[in-house]
Amino acid sequence: MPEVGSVVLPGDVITDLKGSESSGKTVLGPGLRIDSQNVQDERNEIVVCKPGILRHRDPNVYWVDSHQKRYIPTKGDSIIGIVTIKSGDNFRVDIGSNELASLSYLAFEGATKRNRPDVKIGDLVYARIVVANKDMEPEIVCIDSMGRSSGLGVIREGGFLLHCSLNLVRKILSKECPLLKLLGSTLPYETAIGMNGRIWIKGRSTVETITIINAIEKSEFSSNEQIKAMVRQTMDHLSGF
Amino acid sequence: MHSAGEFCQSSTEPLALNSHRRGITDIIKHFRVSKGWINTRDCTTVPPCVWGDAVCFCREVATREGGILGWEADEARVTVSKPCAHILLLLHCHLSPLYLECHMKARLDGREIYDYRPIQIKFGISQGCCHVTLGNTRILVQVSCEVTAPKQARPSEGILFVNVEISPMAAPQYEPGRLTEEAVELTRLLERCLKESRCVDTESLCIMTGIKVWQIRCDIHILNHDGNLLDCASVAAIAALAHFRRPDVTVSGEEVTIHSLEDRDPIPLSVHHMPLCVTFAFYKQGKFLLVDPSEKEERVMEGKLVIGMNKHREVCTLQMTGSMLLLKDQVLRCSNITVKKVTEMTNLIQKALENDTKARSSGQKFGFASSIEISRLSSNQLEATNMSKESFEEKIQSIVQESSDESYTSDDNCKTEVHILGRGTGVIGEGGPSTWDVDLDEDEEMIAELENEQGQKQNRREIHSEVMKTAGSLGDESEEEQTITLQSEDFSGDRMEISAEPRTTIDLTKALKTEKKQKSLKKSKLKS
Amino acid sequence: MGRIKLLVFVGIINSMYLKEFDILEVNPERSSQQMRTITCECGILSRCDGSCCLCQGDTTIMASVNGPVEVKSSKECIDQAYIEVTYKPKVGLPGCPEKSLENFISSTCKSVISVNLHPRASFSIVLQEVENDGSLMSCCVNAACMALLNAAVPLNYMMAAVTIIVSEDGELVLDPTEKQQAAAVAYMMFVYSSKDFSLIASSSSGQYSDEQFQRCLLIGAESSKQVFKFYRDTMEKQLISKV
Repeated sequence: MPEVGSVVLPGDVITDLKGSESSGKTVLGPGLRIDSQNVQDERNEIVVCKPGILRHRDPNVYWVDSHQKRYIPTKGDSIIGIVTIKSGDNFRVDIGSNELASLSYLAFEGATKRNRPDVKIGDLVYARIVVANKDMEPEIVCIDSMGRSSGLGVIREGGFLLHCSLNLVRKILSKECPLLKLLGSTLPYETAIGMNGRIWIKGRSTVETITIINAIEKSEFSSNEQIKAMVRQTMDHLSGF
Repeated sequence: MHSAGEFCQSSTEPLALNSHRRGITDIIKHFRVSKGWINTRDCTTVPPCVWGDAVCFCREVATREGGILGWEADEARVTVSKPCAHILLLLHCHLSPLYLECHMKARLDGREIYDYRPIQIKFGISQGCCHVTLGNTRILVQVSCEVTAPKQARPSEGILFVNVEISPMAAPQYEPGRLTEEAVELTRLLERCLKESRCVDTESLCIMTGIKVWQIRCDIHILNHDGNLLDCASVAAIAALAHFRRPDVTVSGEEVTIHSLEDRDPIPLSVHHMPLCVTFAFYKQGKFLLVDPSEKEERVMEGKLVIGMNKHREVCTLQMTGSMLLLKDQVLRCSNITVKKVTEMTNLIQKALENDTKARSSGQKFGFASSIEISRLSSNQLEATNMSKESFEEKIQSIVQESSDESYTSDDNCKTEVHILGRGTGVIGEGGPSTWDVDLDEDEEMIAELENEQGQKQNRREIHSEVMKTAGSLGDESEEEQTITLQSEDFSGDRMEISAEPRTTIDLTKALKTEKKQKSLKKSKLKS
Repeated sequence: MGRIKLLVFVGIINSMYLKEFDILEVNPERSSQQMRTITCECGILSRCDGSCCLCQGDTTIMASVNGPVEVKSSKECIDQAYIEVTYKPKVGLPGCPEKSLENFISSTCKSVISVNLHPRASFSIVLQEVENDGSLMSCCVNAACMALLNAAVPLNYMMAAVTIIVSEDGELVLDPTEKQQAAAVAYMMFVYSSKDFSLIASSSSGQYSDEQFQRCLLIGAESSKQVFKFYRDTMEKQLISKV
């Protein structure tokens, strides 16, 4: 039985998972599957399907942290998409998955049938996924449940879109990672981070933007201490000139 | 690492001196000032209007900072210490709007305008196999040879054939097998660079004039596309051609003997010179240029200039594409840059070839497998280890025993006698009951059951058809379409006795009855 | 017309390129029951989702995986993903033997990859021959598995392939070199699953007895354990260090 925090590979069977005290259920996250091949035995095995590190969060959540570049749409994720096709009442947006997602004209703040949103082909949109499963094409919207945009919508005025792995996005968004705050303390910048491995950055100038991009790329495999040292070095470099 | 222009903003105010004092790394050590133009190390030029101001300022600053080291009036060479050099650069960037425009753009990976990404050349075990990486762009080339008939126009020359293969490995948008425009352009440029420049001596590839010559085939596989495929491919192709060895041939009168490896050492191709290509990407109608564009830079470029040259300053090929207008001196400047780059790359290739021959002759390991750095986190190695035989020796014994027990000897069952019936017709065996292990009694009963079922179905069909005919308004004419639901009564008692396995019986009697009832009800409703 | 007398040469169908064999090429210390040194490097190609360069001895294969990606509507399947395998030989254009290898690997991968998780999508696996020194097919399968692991494609289990030949003197040689393979009487290639080391796929040619076959199966299953251990060690080395 692999321990929590060890590397698991596809085909490994996990046993002895803790259930929650109230319901006795265990929540399985990404990378774990139930393999109910032995119907006679009624023994449902929990099998790992992606290589990674087995993680656990109290009381009963287990998942596998794997290194992945390709995005699989999940409901509730905020993502950055590129508008590719305008057809009828929908925009078809590329979110990095195998299918284009559909974004309705009316899913913008203050949009009505008469008042269409100003979106062109090639525009970047920051949206939230509302429908995502393997059998249907993903659907995204740029408003929240109240009808307000709350930060979603078209991203305008320049900046740079960076493609990276999904791990990097999760890492820099986590509470422990000091990167974004440190960068912001010396270099003011605007950013939109999509869970599909896309980060939009806009600094005050081209050079600052490039600096931030390189800092983010380098922090993928660095520890927190290394990140702090790297950011300090970069700031020195930049202000030295 | 950063070119001077990067830190110049679009504002026209001079940057304060103080802010530049800290943390400067060395970028430039001296300028050459000649004929009213200030040339930096990288051959960038600034119009003369700047020169006077810049030099004066430099002198002032340098004296103040204590940094000036030399001032030669004739050549007008100004040598300054590191901090001041930087200030001077910045200054004349600021003063010259044209310079500003040219050099304001910074590259994503921090390269300067004329910088190449790091090139690595590796050779494989087979002769003529070369793997080149230019930054992230990777290309694999294999050179092979074959004996063929020569072209009619040139009966005493060998043939050099170049083939570029691009697969979905290089980038997801490529489809396997289908030749894209890009691949065609790449093939054509490489052909021009290699074939038409006559870098390989084709006359020496002739075996028998007009009858047999060597065809040298160069297969170029693109493994990863991160921009500037042409430069990488040309380096790889030339390195592979220089690395390749063909079998030795002796012609004695009418007989031609191709010697094997053991007989005679293979001989290398005679490569006269090494033509290499350098790509320039142009932006804003020829105003800005970049050497060795990466994939992102290639996507937004407006025009491209390719110069194929060898280190003897001979231009082998030149091609300009895209929407831009270039001045003559721009093209000349590009060719000067090309000379430098080609010389560097040629030296790199020579060194790699030397290292490889040394490794081969001294008995060291060579080839791709040994060139993988195991210390990296992304690589791993498992040494050849012996397997423990004990664990399966017993299993083998048991299996071997089993198989010998079960094995049937061929004399047992089938006597393979062939009866000839007529011309072209023969028969083995004469038919008869099945000799497979099946209980014959069960068979007969099952056949009887099936017949029974068929009979019952027929009856039901007839009943249904009567029902349907009377309810004519339903419009259901085809009897074949009727669905008959089997009830448990149909699965009569005897069936349960015969079948050995427990079959789950479905109680469908009621269903059929209710169906009949519904139909009759409908019929009555219609009538009423 | 001249007569051409060809002596022995090392060749592949029409074209030839000469391989320089080291004096120590057939390592006398390497026993017949030993797999050659396996080396691999993962994540070397930046444009694809997962990639790996695997070397078994001197046989080197580079594999890349992209998926799940958009599928052509003609190949679309409503309940499972479509697996496309492309094998590129080093010299010449791909022909029939390459196509049959592609089909073999794609049908093996169908049972390994959880295709039901991604209907109407496709997984594209490209294998590039970099160096061929025997056991090419098994190296391809292993490289494909390593690349699938690198791309974090959902798998039911992992696969490992082993080649065993029966030499002229009846000896069973594991993981043969090109020379040994050319002189073999029978050639067998087995693909095992990591779950219970059961056989997923096999390909064999030549003449061999039932006993030899059973022996090879068992030897193969034992050596596949080594390959699985290699996968595990490689992934641990990469993942545990990634903070």
